[in-house]
Parts: sequence; structure tokens; C-alpha cells
Amino acid sequence: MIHLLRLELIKMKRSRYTYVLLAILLTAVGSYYFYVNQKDMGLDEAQAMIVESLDSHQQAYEQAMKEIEEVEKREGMVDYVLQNFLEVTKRQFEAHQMMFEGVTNHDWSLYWQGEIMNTLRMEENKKEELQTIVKSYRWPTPFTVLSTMEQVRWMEENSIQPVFPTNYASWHSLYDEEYDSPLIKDLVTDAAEKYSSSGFFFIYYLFGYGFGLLGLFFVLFLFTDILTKEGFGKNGPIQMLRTQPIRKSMFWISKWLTVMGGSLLLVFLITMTGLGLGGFFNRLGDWNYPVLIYGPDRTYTFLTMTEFLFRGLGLFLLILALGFSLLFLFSVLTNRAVLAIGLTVAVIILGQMLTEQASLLTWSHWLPFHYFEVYPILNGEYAVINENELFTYRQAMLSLSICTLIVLVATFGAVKLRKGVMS
Amino acid sequence: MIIDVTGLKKRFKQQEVLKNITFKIEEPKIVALVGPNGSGKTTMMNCLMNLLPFQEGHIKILGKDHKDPSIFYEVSYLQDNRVLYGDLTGEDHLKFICHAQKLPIKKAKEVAEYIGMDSYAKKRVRSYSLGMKQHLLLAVAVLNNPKLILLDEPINGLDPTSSIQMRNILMDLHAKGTTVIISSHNLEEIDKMTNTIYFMKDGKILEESLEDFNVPHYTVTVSEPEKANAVFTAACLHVEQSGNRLIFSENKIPLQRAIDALNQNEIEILHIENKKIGAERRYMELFESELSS
Repeated sequence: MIHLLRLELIKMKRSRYTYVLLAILLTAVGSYYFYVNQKDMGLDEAQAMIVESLDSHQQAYEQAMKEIEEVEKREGMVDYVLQNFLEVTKRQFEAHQMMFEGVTNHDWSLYWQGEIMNTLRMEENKKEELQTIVKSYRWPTPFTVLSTMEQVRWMEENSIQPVFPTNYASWHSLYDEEYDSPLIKDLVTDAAEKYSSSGFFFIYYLFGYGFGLLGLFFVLFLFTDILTKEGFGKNGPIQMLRTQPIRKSMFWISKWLTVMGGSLLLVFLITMTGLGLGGFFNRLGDWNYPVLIYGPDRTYTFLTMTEFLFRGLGLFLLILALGFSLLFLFSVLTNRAVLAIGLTVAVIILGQMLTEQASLLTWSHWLPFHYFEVYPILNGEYAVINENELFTYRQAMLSLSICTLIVLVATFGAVKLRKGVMS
Repeated sequence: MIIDVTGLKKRFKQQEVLKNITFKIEEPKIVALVGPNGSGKTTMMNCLMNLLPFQEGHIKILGKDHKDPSIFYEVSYLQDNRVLYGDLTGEDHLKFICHAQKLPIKKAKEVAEYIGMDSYAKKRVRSYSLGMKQHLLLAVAVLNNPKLILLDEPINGLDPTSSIQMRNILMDLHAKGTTVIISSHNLEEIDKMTNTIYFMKDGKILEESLEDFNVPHYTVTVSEPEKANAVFTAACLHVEQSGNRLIFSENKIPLQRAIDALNQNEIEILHIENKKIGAERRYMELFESELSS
């Protein structure tokens, strides 16, 4: 087995095709990093924004004070509304002072305390709203505010550097379906697109694209060379391998291990590149940045970004396993590697298209093609969008595993059947 | 028993390409497979090596079922050069075979030197000439010191130097006890290597184990051929007659004995000619119809 694995590695090492694809990949990763880096609101820009905000809140506070003094002089007393207004403006001013100091001194706990203080009132309001309105769709919904506040508290406890902007106008969730105006919707949507060129955040973005069809097809094409080199079904190097003391099943197992091991190696390479770029041009980032996970009935939890990525990798490996099982099945059936890859890609795309239409079926959650994009499954967005709580991470793992097993058994059966017919 | 093939039948769809082939090779020898294109030589080799399934028959190689991959510790098959990886170097191939055969890696270097390919072993196969590829294939095939080696048209396209080198290496292997089965269209080379030729036609072996057909023969032209033939027949000696010529095989009827017999019976000898039948003549006889068409 080890000699076959070594052969596969040598084939990859000597293949120009592999180097070309890897070069394209690294160029794409590098370009994307610089795009993210350009979009990243750096500390200077964030500080300037906070200073601007601080000034306006200071002015508002001073204005309120002046107004109250005038009212007090004029009427001898201040009513509750004005008193309350003064308190709010004071709190906002103090909150922005804390945020400014936090950014200036890189004291992120202090920064988040300021953010909490700034949004505390809204949080209370939303809690009250929850008592009367069960499901709200107007931005910012209680779900958005409460989940974000919890996220903020998490970051405060762990002194996590923010990804700017952090004000409430930069938060939204899947439940925010209605906005007061299209302008507000555009503003919130734009502000919610947050970019951080720190290492961990960058790989989080990167695998958002990679852990899905794009990644699967890339890996399939990357390893195409490994498969086609043998010339299955014709007089290629497979004939030389088959006249060595090696069991036929070992070819398949070694290829399986190579593509899965190779994929892991690729993920590792991308991770290292992402962390390297982030560490060099910005900073490594926070491994424990919280990622929101949508739960059933508007509940939510959080995962650290690292745990999210590891779980995502697990699911992606199962997607790859199913992809390669299909590829192996079609390789056995067609005896032509290129045709097999074409069929695999076609089946996956068609499977996804048909699955979308079948999402209302009661057993739809067993169809593996729902689960070919990792992030929406893992963070629960897919279940929310499809209004089906059965589309869970656990279900995805189960469906993909069972389907992979079925395809592998079918492949084994096809091999046996072919042998039976021919010998 | 080196090879034991019984009732081998192979069909591609409706066409029967191997028709009930049965043969045995019991001791180390060089066996040539000769026949026109499409006669079933490569198909038979591929069946022997379990590269092609077949419908009927049994094959045993070195006492084991031919499907047992462990036979390849002692058996090698030199196929056409498409089985090589173009991107890999010759050395990569040899090292892989060493690993697969559980041989020490140094064997790769030794064999490369023995075959004479050490100067280009580190180059990619894609850049090799035909001769270089054949040498690499041969190196791959001899790496495990096989007891049985099958070669499918190894001499085709080789220059004279490479052909001679290839023949010498095969003769050397045979001298060390390896059974060599070689298919080739180069009948002159075959003549130099072996007396045992399996002539194949339409999926059948027409003649096998012609142990004596490559030994010296002579032709004696006589005045009374019928009388002469009767003399030898009476002594239970087979003589081939063609017109007024009698063809003798040296190992059955030595020339002097034939001359004595003819003189005793007062049959005039007109001409004596030394002759070797050879693969080419036998091929011409067997495939006369193809040649005439």
C-alpha cells in the first residue's frame, strides 16, 4: 500500500498540470487576500469613524445639557422626558468615549463595554418586544439585536479585536425581512459586509467559497491527472501496475487515500497560506471569534471560528468522499476517467437542481445534494431559508455518509458483476 | 510446471479470438509466438497475465492460479511502451517496482546499469526514444529475476544494436533458468533465439514445440526418388519428398547414413545441398494462403 501511495505522490510531484492548478489556486488566494485587505476597515479608519461619532455624541450631550439648564432656569424644573433624553445622550457619549479609549489603547474589552453600553437600551426594548410580538420581521428584529448583543458580550469577555464597523446598523440576520426604507436596507446590507484581513478571518472567508462545489470541483480536477494517468480501460500504466504483485483493490484504496489525504494537505496548505498572509500583512487574528449558529424556533448558539472551521472541514471531507465515490463508480462503469469526471460533475449539478425542487418532500433531508455547501448547513441558514429544521449538520453528516457507503457498495457490486460477466 | 493452459477460449462480443488453446511448458525454454496480426498472440498473453478475462479454460502459472497476484513476484510481462508514465523518470519506474517487489532499492541502479540505461534513468520517459523505452520496459521486466518472462513484440522498431542487446539479455536470462515467451514478427531474430515456436493463426496454435525444425537439414536430389523414398520408408525412416528431392533432418538420418543407403540400392545421387528450414520457411508454408493473397 505504501509503495502505491508513494507512486501517487511522485506522480503529483512530477505532474506539471498539478503545479499549474496549484499556482492558479495560490494566485487566486493571494488576489482575494489583497481584495479583502483593501476592504478591511483598519484601526486608523475605525478610530477616525469613532472620533467623528464621539464628537457628534459630545455635541448632542452638551446640547442636551444646555437645553435642560435653560428649561430649569425658565420653568424651575425638568420633566421626565428631558431628563431621560439627557441620560441617553450622556450614556451614548460615555459609551463612545470608552470605545475611543478601547481602540486607542487596543483594550478590546473596554471597547466592547462601550458598545454594550451604547446598545443596552435597544436590547431592553427588544426583550420587551418579544413579550408581545412572537415573530418580528422588521429590522432590527429581536433575534438580530439579542444574538448580536450576546456575540458582543462573548467578544468582551475574550477581549477579541472587533471587525469594524460594529454599530447596530451593521447587524442583520435572516429574519430581518422588512426595512423602514430601501435606503436603510442598502446601508445595513453594505455595513454588514465586514472584512478582516487577519489570518483566521481570511481563512474563514476563503473556506466559505472552498468548502462547497467550487472546492469539490477544484479537487476533482486537481486529482483528475492522478486518475487519467493509469488509462483505465485501455493500454495505459494500469497494465503495468496489474502485472505487479498488487491486489486490484489496493489501486482503488490507494487512490482513495491519496485524494482524501491530498485534499487535507491542500486545506492545510491554504490554511497556512491564509494565516501567513494575514500574519504578515495584518495579524493572525482571533481563533475564538464567535460565529452565529441559527437554531430551531429563532434560537441561536455560537461556535468559535476554529471549531466552526474544523466542523466545516469534516463536512467538506464527506462531500469529497461522496464526490470521489461517484467518480470511482463512473470510472468502473465507463472505464474512461475523463468521461467519469464529466458524469460526476453532471450528476452533482443535476442532483442539486432536482433536490431544490424536492425540498418540500418529507424525506428530502435524506438527499445528499442538499449538503454540498458547508457554511449554510453548519450555521443553520439553510434550515432557516428552507423552513425545515431537519437540514442540520448532523443530518448532513449522516446523509452524506450513508450515500457514500451506498455508492461504494454499488461500485464494488459493479466490479464484481463485471468480473462475473467476463470471466 | 511453468505454464499449464487448458481449453482457453476467449470471445470479444460474438467473435471468438482464442479457440480452445491448450499447451504446457514444463521446463525453462525460450518459446516464440509467431503469427500474423490478429492471430491472438497478444490476447493470449494478456489472458495468461490476467489482464483480460476469458470465457472458458484454466490457466496455471508456476503451479498457481493465474489470478493470484503473488505470481508476479516470479513472473514479468513486457508490454508496449504505453504502460509507462510519461511524466515519471526511468528511475521512478524502477524504484516503484523495487518497492512493489520488496526488493532493495539498489537493485534499481544495478539493473539500469545492466540494461545500459543508467545514463538517462533520471530523465522523464516522455523524452525517451523508442529504444530507450524498450530498454526501460526490459529493465522493469527483469528487475525481479523472473522465472517466467513474457514479451510482447519487444524488438519491433529497435535498431540493430538494440535488437542484439535485447536478444543477448534474453539469452542470458534463459541461461540462468528463466522461461521466455516472446511474440515477434522478426523471424530472423526468433531463429537466433529458439527452436520452439508456436505458430498461431485465427486464435489457434497450429504447431507447437517444433523441437527439431531449426536443426540442420539437407536436400538430396536423386535419379529415382520413388525408389529412394521406399528404401527409407522400409527402414521406418520418414523422409520428406518434393519432386526428385528428398529432405532429411540431420538429427534423424545423418547424411553419411543416407548416402550409404542410396549407394547400396544403386540410386544415383545428383546433388546434395545443406539446408536449414528456419522459422521463415515454416511460416511461409503454414501461411501460404495469406502470402499468396
